[in-house]
Amino acid sequence: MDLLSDDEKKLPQVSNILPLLKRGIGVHHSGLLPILKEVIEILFQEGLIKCLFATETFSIGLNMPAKTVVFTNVRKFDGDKFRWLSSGEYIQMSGRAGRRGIDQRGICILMVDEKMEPSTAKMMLKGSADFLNSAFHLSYNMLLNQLRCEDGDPEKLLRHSFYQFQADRALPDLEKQVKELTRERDSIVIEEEDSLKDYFNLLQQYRSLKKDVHDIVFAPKYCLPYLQPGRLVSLLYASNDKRPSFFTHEPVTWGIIVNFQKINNLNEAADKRPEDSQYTVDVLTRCMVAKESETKKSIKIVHLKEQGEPLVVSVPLSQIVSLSVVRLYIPKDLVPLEARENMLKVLSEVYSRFLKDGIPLLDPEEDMKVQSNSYRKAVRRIEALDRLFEKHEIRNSPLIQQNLQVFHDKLELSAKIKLVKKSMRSSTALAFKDELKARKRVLRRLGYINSEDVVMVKGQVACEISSADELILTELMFSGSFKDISIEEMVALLSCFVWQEKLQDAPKPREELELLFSQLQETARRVANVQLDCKVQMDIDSFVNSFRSDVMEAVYAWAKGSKFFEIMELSSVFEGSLIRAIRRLEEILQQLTFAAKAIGETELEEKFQEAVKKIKRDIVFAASLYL
Amino acid sequence: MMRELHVSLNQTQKVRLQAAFQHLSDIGSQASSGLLVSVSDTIPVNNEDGILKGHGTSERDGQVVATVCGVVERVNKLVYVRALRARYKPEVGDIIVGRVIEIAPKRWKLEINFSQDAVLMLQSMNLPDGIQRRRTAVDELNMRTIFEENDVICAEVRGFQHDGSLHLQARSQKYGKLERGQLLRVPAYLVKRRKQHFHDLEQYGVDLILGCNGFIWVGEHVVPADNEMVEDQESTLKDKEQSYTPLEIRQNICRIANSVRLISALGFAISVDAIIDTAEASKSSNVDIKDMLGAEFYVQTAEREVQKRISLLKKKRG
Repeated sequence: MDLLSDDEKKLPQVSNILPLLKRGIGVHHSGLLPILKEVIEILFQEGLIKCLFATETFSIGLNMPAKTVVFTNVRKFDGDKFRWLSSGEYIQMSGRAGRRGIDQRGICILMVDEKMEPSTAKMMLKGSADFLNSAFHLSYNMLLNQLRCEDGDPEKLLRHSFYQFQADRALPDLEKQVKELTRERDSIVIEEEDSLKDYFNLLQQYRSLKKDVHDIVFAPKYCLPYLQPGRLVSLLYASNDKRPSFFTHEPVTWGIIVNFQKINNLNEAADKRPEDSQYTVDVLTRCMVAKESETKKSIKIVHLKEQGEPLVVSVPLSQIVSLSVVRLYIPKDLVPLEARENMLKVLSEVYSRFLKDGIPLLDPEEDMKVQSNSYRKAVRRIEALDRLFEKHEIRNSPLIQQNLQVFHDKLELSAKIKLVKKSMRSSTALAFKDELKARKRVLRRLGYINSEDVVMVKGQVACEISSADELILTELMFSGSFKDISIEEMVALLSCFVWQEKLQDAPKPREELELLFSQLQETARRVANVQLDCKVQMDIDSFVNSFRSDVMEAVYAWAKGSKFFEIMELSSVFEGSLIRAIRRLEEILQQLTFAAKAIGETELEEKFQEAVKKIKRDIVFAASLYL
Repeated sequence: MMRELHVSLNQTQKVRLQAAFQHLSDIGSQASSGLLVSVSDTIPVNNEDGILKGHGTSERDGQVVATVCGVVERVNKLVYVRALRARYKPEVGDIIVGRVIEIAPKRWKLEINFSQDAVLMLQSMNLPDGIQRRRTAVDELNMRTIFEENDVICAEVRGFQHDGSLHLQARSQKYGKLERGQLLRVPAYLVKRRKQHFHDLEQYGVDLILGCNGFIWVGEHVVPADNEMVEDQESTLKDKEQSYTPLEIRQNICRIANSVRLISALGFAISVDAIIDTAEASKSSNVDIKDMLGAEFYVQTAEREVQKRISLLKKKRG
């Protein structure tokens, strides 16, 4: 520990952990300072730490067995939600229990504090290890390095990759799948298949037309004025079974509008016009409430006549079938149950009064002033289809529903077969072949290689850069971005390439750095656009946003010569993560030095060297205790 | 544009040759728009920010000046000068042909036309038995059985070490010792980097290796050996000694070699197409191999090149 300077000994992480270690308690996670992590690992191996709190990092790679492993929870947070541990993770972690030659048996304690299905438990405890799948992907750097060798044929490399091997091996399985699916499809025999098909197509057409009409009428600009509280609306309600129904008329119920509101979608930009945004309508209707667990309730809208509680639910516009002319008076307070029950009573009365010819509806053209040619056209076609339905011979067949259901299944099977066949085709061809072509196109377009696949000056630079995005770095270099800025600013700019974590409340970097960062984003956007043009699949925004400016300020200060505890105050990240980032930064700087040498730019080369000197000091590059 | 010629031309041939070169320089000036500079010429950079000064440039009194004679090239903000006649400068991945000049501990030193000798380490080449293993002291003692001094070998540039020395590698069946052929030296700038530098000219039964360092190998075609070496190695060695290169192939080698000599003497870029073209032309017009370097065919080749470039230019213009 004497490697550290006095200032660094005062780091909160260091001073806080000492009393714990003295009592034989340790903490181990990826955010620790590397040197602390190593101290703890060594102490643990020596048996000086009696109780260690560790994250999953501890379970992988290191040979650190313990007598007992305790799981404090059986779920883990994997970035977006809490999920059950996978069997692979369980094997890794529980496998740490029991030291060879010391313990008779290893003990593994699972703390389960919620209900766990037997099947999930079985999956977790008895499941096999995670599958080994190839995560191989093409990178430009790899491609360029292959291209500049005489016999470096990227296709050959791909053909011998593990990924290709796995794809080849999956082929017989897929074939079998196709066979089975085909057999299943052929085993379905329907009488009068042709006329049924005809009918089915008609039905499909009818549906899509209805949907068109619905979309027009319920475009917010037409229907919003009519969504006043008290208006009766008919709603779709899902029937119990999940299979699609084949009636021409779908089950509807009635409800009373209470309110409507816009869905505030956080991702959407604020400048969208109001017509485009989504609306939900709060409707009072009869619902069936099913309790699934203590916290969750599922609410299902049921028909008025059925049993259920009167509730106000929000439904999307698409679920509303039609609006009626009738408006009811709503009491101000709908919270008490009786008030709602009363409302529904009134509603059912209205319903039974109009039972004969239905509750009068708002006429889209006359009442709602819907004026659109496509609407009129669609309505006319619906009328025509209605007549066709009536004429259709099969309509009166008693088995029509079942037959349609079977027919639908058959169609679904056919679609599945198509899908499997498609994936078969893509795996018989060379995996990545299209991507390889597209990526070569990108390199050609950006001038990294020429039309004969010979690596050009830019390509030589990109060849040297392997631990960050080579295209963007090369573009930045060739646009002279590194030339005019100070060394500290350059280091801060490069930090965007190594930092991937997302911080919620990251402070904005100061103006000069912000300017550099926007330069970087601009370059990234340009490169991303070229890639998209060349049919490399990617999402521009997420690509641009993958460069984070969060630690620019901290790294800037570090390059300026600040103490480590000072830069820790500048950012709210873990010490260990920051150290990792700076170490990677040094690696990139080394590669950039070589790249600058390759194009013969000595000044830049010296600048990168200087930068390496500036960041390579103190605790960040403290020597490992294992060496 | 005249190059040092070792052929004695008569008066008409001289006139024809001059006319051909005149044509070529006309076409050349039309095609290339690059700025030619000589040493200490200022390169205009219209004071943009962040200009990157690449090879062959230097800064003097706030201005970018050239340090070599050549063409100014620009890539985005990088400015560099591509020298017209320069010594070979290796790049990673280049195919080179070289001659062993020294055997040092665990390495061979090769003369490759560079400012320093290249190093081929024992560990960066495949052993004759084809097994991947650590090189032992015995292997080191047996290094001469692989390559001896004055052997011509072919290898690939692996990269510069930290101490600035150039390292080669020969980890492939196609690299290694070259036998039964001719080694030609041409100026390195005549050989352009291509996708392919190994060529198997089937109609002649000849292998052609265009080393990026300006060493060109023309030799009898060898079938790439299988990875598993045959056990009775001695008998195959004997076979090799007994077998000889047939006369026809020897003649072909000479014809190709003379084509290369001719093209390099004329100062044209050396490519497989050009070499085959020249060789075919000499065959079809019944020029003897020994007469290929004579004055008449020399002038003819220059004139043919003019025709070729003119037709190419026409095609480009459509």
